[in-house]
Amino acid sequence: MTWRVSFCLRCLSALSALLLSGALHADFLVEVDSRGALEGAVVTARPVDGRVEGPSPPATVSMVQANRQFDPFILPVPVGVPVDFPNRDDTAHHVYSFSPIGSFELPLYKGDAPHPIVFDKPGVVPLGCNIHDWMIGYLYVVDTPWYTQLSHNSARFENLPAGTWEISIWHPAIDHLPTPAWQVTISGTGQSETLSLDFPFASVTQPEPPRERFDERGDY
Amino acid sequence: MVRLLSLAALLAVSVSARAATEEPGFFTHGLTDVQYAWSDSEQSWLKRGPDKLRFDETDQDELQLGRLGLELGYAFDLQSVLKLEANYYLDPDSSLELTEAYFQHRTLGAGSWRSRYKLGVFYPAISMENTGPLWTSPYTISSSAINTWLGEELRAVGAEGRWTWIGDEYNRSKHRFSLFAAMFCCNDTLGAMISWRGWSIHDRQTGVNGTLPIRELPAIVYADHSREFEPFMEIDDRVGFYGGMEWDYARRLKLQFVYYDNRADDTIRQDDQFGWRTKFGQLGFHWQPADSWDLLGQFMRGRTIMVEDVVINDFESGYLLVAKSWGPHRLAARVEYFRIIDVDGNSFDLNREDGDSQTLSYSRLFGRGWKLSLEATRFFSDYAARSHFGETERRTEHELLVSLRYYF
Repeated sequence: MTWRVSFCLRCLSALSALLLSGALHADFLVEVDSRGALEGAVVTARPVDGRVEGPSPPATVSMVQANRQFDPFILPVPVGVPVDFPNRDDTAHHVYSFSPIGSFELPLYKGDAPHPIVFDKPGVVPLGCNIHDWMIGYLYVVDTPWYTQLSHNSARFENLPAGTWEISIWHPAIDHLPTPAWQVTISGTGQSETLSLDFPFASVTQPEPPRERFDERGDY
Repeated sequence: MVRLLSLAALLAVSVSARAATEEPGFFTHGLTDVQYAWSDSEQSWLKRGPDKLRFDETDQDELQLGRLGLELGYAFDLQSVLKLEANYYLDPDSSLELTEAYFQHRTLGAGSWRSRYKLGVFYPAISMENTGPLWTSPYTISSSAINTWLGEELRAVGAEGRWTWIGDEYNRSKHRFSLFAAMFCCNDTLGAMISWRGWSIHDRQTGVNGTLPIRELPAIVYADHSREFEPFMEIDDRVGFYGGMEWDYARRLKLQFVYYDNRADDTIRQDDQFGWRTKFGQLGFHWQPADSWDLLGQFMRGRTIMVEDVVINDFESGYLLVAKSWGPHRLAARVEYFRIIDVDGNSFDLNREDGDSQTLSYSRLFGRGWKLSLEATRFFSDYAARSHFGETERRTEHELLVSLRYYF
């Protein structure tokens, strides 16, 4: 299955987004015409001209194992923020990654929530389970406080300060493809821009776990 | 029987069931299976009769104990486990039989290859059908002729290695390629049941300490062979082997080939049992076009020899099974054929057999461990050995089985 994707970026309600400081901010909506093929994609924004103070990162983030799947399928993780891996299944998991930005193996018995893992470099951390080998998940470690995820073909940045931004998108379906970054200037006034990813790609979705019955056993 | 059923219920309730991979330590599983059988078979082979199914018309008066099965284990960690499986039966005699007892170590983690090693007493993983706890079939009550035979007579007492390629470590493949091989002892008499009883269809597995009844065939009487057949004996101190390969695509399609040779010395006799040199090749597949559909089958062909000029039999069987599941319901249909080609041509020991069988099974799961099954089987066999008893060689049996199982 291949999709052609086009991006439509619009500034929404920019005028109403003035904060008390007087600085110009805008809620910023990214729309993707991919018919759900990039659900959960991580969209990041980086200021092109200099550093801008962003929202503070969460204290921790969690990649849960539930119903013999990773939840969520794709988890954005800011650099330096600890990731924990709570196991909410009745069965044990053995979560691993061989990512160049941090490889690990975690034996996780029922109810386990082991020591969190911290990544100090941005990049992709593909996750698997050595016991349930259909389980696939992704951590996407980002080095910007401005990130959001696509849901139903759109992603919203709240209160993006005025200025020129580089917008990028990441999803396992387009991981190895030459995905461009777009420069967008947020002026604080109404504006709309359409950007496009003009190449075909194959859809990647989270695999369903196989059926589970008490009169059947897995074979490994 | 009622006392036994209460015991079964008590056992099921009192044992705290835990999943083997839940945490390190001891675990127990098991199942109790109570059956009612309606059959038009005259006399079952278990009562040394000419018929091939487990129950016959004399068993219709009461509930039957299909089995009491217990699995005890100790998980050292996620990689190493010790397992012991035993079944208790009332037929033909009350017996507690050890069907498997092994240590398993599997590797998890780095690299494109995984390995799994077994040491002890175990079933080679060559049944496409018997994938449930205690080697039961999740599709039907009785196993196909091939797997009935494996459950009766075949077990590896030895060591098995299995190596599986799982793809690049950053990008796991949907393809899995496995190679497996084993060396084993103590299966030197394998082949006697399909020669001297012929093919059969049932759900009773023999333990390594178990024996099976054999009819007083002329060859048995002449050679003064024991009337109790012992499938698991080492009589020649030679090591047998099997090996095979398997391809699995996305857990949807599995193709397997296995070659087996017990390498028994067929000229030796010990404790009133003979060595049977038995080899076979088998092709198996399991296709799941969707979670609710299963199509599987095995085809086997081989040869068994007992004292070169006395018994030389080629044997062959194949089955196809289709199962459709919806929610807790499952409907399964299996068709199969089986043959023994009596190559030696000795008229004092006739083993030729041609037969086929059809099984239709409905089952329903209830709650967290109950399973009710209803199964109809037609079994036809044209078996030459019956003529030694003045019986007609061609017999058709019908059986209707109801089974209530509790898995714990």
